[in-house]
Amino acid sequence: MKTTLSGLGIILSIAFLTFLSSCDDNGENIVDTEAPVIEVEDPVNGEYFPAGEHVHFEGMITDNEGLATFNVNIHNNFDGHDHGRVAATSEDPALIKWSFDESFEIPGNPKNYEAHLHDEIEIPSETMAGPYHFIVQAIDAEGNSTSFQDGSAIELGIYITNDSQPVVDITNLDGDELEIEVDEVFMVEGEVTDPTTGEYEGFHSMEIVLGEEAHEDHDHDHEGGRIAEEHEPLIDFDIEEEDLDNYMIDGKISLTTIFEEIGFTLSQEMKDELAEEEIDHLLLTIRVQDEQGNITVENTDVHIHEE
Amino acid sequence: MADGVWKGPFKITGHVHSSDGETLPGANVKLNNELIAVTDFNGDFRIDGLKQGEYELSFSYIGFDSVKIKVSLVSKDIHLDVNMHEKSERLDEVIVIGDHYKTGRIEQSMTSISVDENFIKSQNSGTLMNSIEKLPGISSINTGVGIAKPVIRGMSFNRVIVLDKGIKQEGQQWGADHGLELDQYDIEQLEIVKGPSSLLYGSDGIGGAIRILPPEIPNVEKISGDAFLTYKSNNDLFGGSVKLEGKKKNYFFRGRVSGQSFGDYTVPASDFTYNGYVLPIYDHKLKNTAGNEIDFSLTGGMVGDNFNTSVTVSNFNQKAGLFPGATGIPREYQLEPDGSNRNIDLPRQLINHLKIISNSILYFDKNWLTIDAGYQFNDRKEEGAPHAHGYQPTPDGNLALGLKLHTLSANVAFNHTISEKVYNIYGFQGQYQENTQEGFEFLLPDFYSKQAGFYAYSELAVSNSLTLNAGLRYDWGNRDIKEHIEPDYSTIEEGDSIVRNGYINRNFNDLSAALGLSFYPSNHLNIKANLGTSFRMPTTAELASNGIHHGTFRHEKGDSTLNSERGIQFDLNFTYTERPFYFSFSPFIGYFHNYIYLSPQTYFSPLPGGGQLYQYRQNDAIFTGFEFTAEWHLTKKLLFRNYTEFVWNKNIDTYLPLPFTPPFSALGELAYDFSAEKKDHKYMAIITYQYFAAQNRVDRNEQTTPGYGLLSAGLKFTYLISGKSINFNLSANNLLNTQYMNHMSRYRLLNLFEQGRNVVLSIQIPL
Repeated sequence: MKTTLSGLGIILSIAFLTFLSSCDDNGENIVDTEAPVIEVEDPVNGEYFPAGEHVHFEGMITDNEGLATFNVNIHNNFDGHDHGRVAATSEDPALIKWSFDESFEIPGNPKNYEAHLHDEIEIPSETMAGPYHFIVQAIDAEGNSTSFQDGSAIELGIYITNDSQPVVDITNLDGDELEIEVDEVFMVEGEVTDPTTGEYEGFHSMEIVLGEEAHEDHDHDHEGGRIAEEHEPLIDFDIEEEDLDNYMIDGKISLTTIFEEIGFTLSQEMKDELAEEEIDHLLLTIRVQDEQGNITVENTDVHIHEE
Repeated sequence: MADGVWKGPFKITGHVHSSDGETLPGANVKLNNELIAVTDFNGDFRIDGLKQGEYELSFSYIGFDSVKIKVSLVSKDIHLDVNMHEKSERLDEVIVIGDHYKTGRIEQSMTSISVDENFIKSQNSGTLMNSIEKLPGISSINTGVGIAKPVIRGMSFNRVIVLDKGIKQEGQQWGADHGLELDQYDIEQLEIVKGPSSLLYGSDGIGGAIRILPPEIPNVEKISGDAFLTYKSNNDLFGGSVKLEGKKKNYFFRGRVSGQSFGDYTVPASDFTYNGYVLPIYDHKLKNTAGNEIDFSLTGGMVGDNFNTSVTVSNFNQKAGLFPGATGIPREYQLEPDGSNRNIDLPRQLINHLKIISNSILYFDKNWLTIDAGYQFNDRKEEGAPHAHGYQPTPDGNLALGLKLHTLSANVAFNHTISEKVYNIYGFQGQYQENTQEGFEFLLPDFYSKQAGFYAYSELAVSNSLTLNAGLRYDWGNRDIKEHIEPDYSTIEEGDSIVRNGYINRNFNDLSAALGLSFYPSNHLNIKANLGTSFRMPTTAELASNGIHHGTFRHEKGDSTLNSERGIQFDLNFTYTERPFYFSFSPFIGYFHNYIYLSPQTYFSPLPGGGQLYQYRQNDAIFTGFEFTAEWHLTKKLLFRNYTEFVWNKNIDTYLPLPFTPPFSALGELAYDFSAEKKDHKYMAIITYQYFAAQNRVDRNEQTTPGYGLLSAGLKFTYLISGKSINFNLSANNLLNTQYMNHMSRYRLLNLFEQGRNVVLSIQIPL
């Protein structure tokens, strides 16, 4: 009796599962659940856009069945991807933390759509300078959407610049890059100036990071000015407002003084480790925030000197 | 008896022994759910002074299956010979036969599982739902460790009814990140009814009902209690619960205080991938997943000649942190350690649920009337940092979504015994709700809701082996939803405004019916069949929400034209018991008309950063599946157990599965009892492996989840000291520290992993 019963149970279950899987074959193959794919040609990661001008978007959006709409969202990233940075306590009310959010219909549900936005995204001239996120998402005619979960929504980091933000001037460049040598103190010479005068004159904080440059090992193109997040940086130096005075000469921040104090030396051991990973360049990021709230991010390639 | 409750001329005497013939001294004897006697040294008991009538006696003894016997005192005394079987460690050893206190015998034709306090405490998870989700057909939708909502056969949200002492728990069940507000330590007996449950409980009884039964009325004339303490290694959880209860003359009381505090939970991973970035998990700790909970309950009651009545006041208070980025896009800078694994930072949930429940039962000879009334106040606060982007000015404060829900409920049921073969219940249920909202992220408007239902149920014992039942119910409901208008900051003009939702006033009428049978072809086999309809009135969230749901971080929009969701379901249950085997197989199939779900639209939300708009729609859907349970005593000491569950469903309109469908899972467990022959202690070792298949059947824009297996092991010790038991439990969950994602978790959306190895220690001592 019991074997008959459990045998019957197993047969019933198998029959049932077969029935269900056949339902799936008939039903779900015809259902389109594929999300659109977005390729952004312009802007590129790390691109600079002056306030008062336009952000151009050029890209290719494709779908297996038919596209319905895409959305462009731009918002500030002042709280920082890079490190825990609190927004400036003082901000110039004349400047705005600009944001943009607009959806664009794709008429006729095509499978391929070349997106061109040339005049649509105007950056107001009073925009606060600094890092912004540029996000593109798309939905197809069935409601399948790109998502952040699988990285199919595209997020780029761009910079908006203006005339009042801090200016970083490095004077010991070799071409457009810096050199680092084993067993020698890594020196960056030059200064940071703030063009603003009046109530919001001066600097709020500063951060210097030297690390491996993020390379294209994920779905996203993260090239163009991002420190890799998986590795500890070689230099990570924060200066808060109250300590900035120690590095000021004539109202300007002296990079030379800062790098003398950091006194970082690349050891042979570190260099060998980097060479093992086939790394011959590092990235130096200097991030300065002024009293107006503007943020300047200056990225410079650092070449590891070969004997 | 001394307190003069029983005044008749009759007595019941008896002898209690094990199936081996051993006498059982100290066994508890209960009469109509009240502890009335304890067997003496010879295993004998005696109850004097009984009147004519129907009585139910139940016998319990540690390590043995409890026995229930119904007797009818007509003209002479009764002597009983009570034969008790050693416990098979089966969960459903207590099959509630004729649970007089509440609903009578209706569940006879439906698949149900009974679980007691010992089971919940031995599972000892962070929440009630996590403690019972291992059972076949039961799962939970989780947000981290402290927040879990019930799922029965893949049905959740407002499709599962939770009844606490007869009163339906109301706490914004529509939200995926809204957990069940119940103290898991305050549950002594719980019954899960799988299948259509609208007939007795009204709207929302689609997937089934979880009934928390009132604890038994305390012992005679003394104060007793117990204390439970627990520690969990994975998230440094400290928890405890203390109960005291007593009885004096006709009065009794019961009080409990419980609390737990836990830190961030540990995952077997140092990073996760989201938005194309590899994001770090520092020290393997998921930041800000800490929480705490403090609950209490107090009951006072009276046992009269022909009635008993009680009032219970309880409060659940929880503060639970959410992983940063759960309410947005997780960013690396948010994930850096904040110096503490125990702080509860933003975003977080603050939940307080107050309940006042009154239960009364009046006996009229062979009939009885139950009256339950309740008031609940659910106070939900979802806090987060205001979003900087958007056209609106950055709001003050951190309250993103605040909802205050007041619910008044009343249930009356008359249990009418017409003859030995026919038994009826006539009932009424009513509910009134008021909800107000606050916070900077508007989602759900203020509303009033009213519901009333009448039902009649009849049970016919055709023969000793066949019972039939049938029932009919009518419900009316009204949703009165206020208009919500807010200023528009996106235009320069002063005074412009946006109507987020208009005024909605809708009435709903529903008729439901059920038909069932229970048949014993032999002493070993039981076949149950049930055909029932169930319904659910659309919730206010489904009719009127319009905004970014802070907890799910997407724009959810209601549809004021939605109608009631109705289901027709057919369930079978085969149970075969012949030592050393026990098998139970429960297939089910159902069809839903107007099934309500959130459908992704082909356009973006007009709210800045709102992403794709999700709107509630309704379509037909089918669902089917089965549960299977097997138990096999390989030897007298060694038990093998298997639970298997499978749910399959499909939206007939989209031809896609429904979201949050639990994957196929199978559990295998070996339990070895290495107690000596003496009965004053019990040692048990358990090893469990649960396999979860990949869930590849997903709704649009829902990600598939890979399969995984979890190994756990535990030791249990029970010592019996002068009639009271001390329990120790030591277990290790996810023993192999397996890295996995749970398809049913809110954190699945962030590609976050679940808890790694967790060593759990607990002790329960009598006071």
